[in-house]
Amino acid sequence: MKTNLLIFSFIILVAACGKDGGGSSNSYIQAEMVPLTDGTYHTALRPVNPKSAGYLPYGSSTIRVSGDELNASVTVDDATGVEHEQNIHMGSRCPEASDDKNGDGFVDYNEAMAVVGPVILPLDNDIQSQKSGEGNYPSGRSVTYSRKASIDRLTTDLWQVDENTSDNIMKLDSGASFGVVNRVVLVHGVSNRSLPASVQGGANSLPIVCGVIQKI
Amino acid sequence: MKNCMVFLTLAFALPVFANTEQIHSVGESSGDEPVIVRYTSGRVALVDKNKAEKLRTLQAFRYERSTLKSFTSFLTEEPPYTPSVISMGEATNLFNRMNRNYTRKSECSDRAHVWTHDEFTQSGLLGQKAFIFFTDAYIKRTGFKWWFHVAPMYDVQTGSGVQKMVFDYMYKNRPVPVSEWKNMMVHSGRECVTEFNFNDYDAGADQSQDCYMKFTNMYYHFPAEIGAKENGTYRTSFDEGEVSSTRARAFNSGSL
Repeated sequence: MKTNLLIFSFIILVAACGKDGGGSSNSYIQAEMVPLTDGTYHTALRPVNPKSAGYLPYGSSTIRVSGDELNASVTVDDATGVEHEQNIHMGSRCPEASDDKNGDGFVDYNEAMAVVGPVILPLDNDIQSQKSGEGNYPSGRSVTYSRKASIDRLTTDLWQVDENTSDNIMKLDSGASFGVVNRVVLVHGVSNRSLPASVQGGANSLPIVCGVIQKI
Repeated sequence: MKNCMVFLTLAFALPVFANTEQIHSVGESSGDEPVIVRYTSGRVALVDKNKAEKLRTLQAFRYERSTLKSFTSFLTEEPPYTPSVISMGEATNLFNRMNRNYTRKSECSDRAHVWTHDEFTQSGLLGQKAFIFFTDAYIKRTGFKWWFHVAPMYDVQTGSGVQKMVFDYMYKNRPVPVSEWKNMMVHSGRECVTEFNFNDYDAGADQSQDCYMKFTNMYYHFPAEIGAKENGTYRTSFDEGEVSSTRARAFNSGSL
């Protein structure tokens, strides 16, 4: 009971730490962690801010697990050739129009983080660990991304002590299972354009597509 | 001789254009403003006036060929069509069994055609299509990249009566009311014109509007077929050969 309370408090604390210093309410709901098993996990990635680029971005994310190997792939098509930060988050649903709390017509970074929660796996240049990809994400109007990882190596990294509790990337308790079912894939980034000043984080961090992973 | 040269030029150009999107229509020129080219995929491009003229010539040639191939109905009036009505629970199940194995470059008209066909084949449900068309003025004002979009639509029994809901699996995570689907694309929130002839829209829509919307039975595949319908040529069934080639174009074989 005490351990569960500690874990819950930790998650709440991490979730409250937004990239830009927070500012949004913490309302994300973390689904139960279902351990990875062999098979295919998939989600369609659908628009979060359809009015952001004169185009409806779309995509998909597929995670294939076979033995110790995890292969994560993402495709995204949009109209803006910028870097697209993309992460797997702990939350269990995607942001919707009703999550635009300040009513400016955009679900911005902080508003989205309040829903999707902290990052558990950055889908960057190297997914063997949270840091090894150095936050280098794919760029372009038409993104095709695929990276492999050893699940042993990945979970070992997730069990490390969180050295930076002020970012929005979280670790797992040592020995805790890692899974992707009901986790959220969120992709960011539109080109520089005149967004309202109320949009926190600017164009690079504006969420564009999102999906909730299911095993198929 | 001149006509012959034009024909030969176009004939040699066709293989090149066969690898690119087909043109539905080319907008009207106005001064030095860019002209909107509408592709059958729904995408638009802005080109200069000179290029627009060349594309207009090519498009007229291609349209004649496609017309001869596609429209073969000889009915004098469209047979009555009564869409199926499903419960909200059935709607959710239907949505969740939609084929998600569409290709990345698939076109909305192709996805909608296969989705409605497959549901009809599996469950016998008579679905519909929701077509939305945007005006050139809206496209230029917002930078929107499409001139039309289409998705499957079904009549759903809700607590407040039968409601038309759109099943746009690629862009929505559940069946949504037509207005929610429309607002995803029409950011002004303005209503679309619903009482109109597609041929009038195609010839030059009222540019003070943002959008036009038309509902059809599930057999209509492309906007041009709505125009043909207004001229007395109807779609009253699926053409299995057409569905097969559409599936090959828009969906991957096998499972994910």
